[in-house]
Amino acid sequence: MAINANATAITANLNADDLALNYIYPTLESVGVLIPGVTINPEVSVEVGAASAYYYKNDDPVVTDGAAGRQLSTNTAGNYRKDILLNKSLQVDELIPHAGSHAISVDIVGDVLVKAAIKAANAWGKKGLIEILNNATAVTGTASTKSTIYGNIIDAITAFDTANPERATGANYVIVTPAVLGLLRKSDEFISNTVTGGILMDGIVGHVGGLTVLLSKQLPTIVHGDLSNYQALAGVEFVVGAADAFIAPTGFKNFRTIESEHYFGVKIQAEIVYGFDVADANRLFFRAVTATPQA
Amino acid sequence: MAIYRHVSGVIKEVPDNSAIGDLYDKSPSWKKIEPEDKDTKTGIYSTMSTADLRTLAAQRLIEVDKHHTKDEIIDRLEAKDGTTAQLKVVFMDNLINE
Repeated sequence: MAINANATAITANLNADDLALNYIYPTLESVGVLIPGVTINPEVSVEVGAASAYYYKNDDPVVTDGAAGRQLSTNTAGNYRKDILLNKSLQVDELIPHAGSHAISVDIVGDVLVKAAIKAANAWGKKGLIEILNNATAVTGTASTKSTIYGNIIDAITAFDTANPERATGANYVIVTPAVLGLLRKSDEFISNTVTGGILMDGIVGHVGGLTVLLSKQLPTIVHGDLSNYQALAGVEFVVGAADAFIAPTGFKNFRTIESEHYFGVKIQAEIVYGFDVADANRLFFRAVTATPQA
Repeated sequence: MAIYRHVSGVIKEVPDNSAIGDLYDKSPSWKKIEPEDKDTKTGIYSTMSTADLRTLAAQRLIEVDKHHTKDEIIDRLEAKDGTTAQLKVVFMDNLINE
């Protein structure tokens, strides 16, 4: 795997300072479900070191019909620019003791880097899910069972289509909790991606109702305290959305190893700057038993 | 038109008695902004916060600055409601004649 190839770039003296984080990120071990083109918009990206990302959003024009040559009327039509500041970051700061740096093998140092990358990927993934829930349209109802889960997902797709009458692109994915995946597996409508029912490494586990199903182990760990827009949240089951609805640009900064004059040992540092934006609350729906907005 | 506010601060205008309005009514994420007089629908802007009015004005491409008061923003929104901007179609003939 590429990770191992990267690890060999670290010499015994730990002087390789240009280990690119984007080379080992995201790793197959991460549990995040923010996948470009599947759950996040692949069109908005940034270059290394960028401070912001932006996209243009069109406002709905009003058009009228009538005889040719009439006066055209228009209102509230146009594009407006949405900026996403990359002013948040995840940071890695690990110290390898001086005594250890000459004693430990390259493999161990490489493993530290990979684990740090996994932690960063998972932290980023959870923050993205929090942003989705905070800015999506909530649908509430009683907890799903194996006989109602399919209908509830289809109802969410119907709600999605109702809220987007002028958009041709429909919902394309559903992110489910492990409990809901269990219900789906008992449901006749679920189509597993593997003959063994195992989880594929990219997080995609199957299809239902025309949607790609992704398993998120982090989705049920989100509580109301994580959300600024809700004072109560319970029984989150799934998120239905379209890939164009969520923007998650990430600016990668290189991993670096530095040998300090002030302390013994070597520091491994990395920074990933990021920003999130929900392009349209009408294109993201989540179902929960309880979702009470802030007063 | 009915005006709804999302928990994130997004303002959406939807047609009266529409399927989207029904959807918003059922979702806890959306709150309908009610006018002071439900029969005539007057006073809907005055029930909104200045921040929400600024959002709405921005969505309608109405320029408002920081120094504009709530009443001034409402005046501009109502002016936009009353007059639909007219785009005259310029025919090729006219261009040739001129």
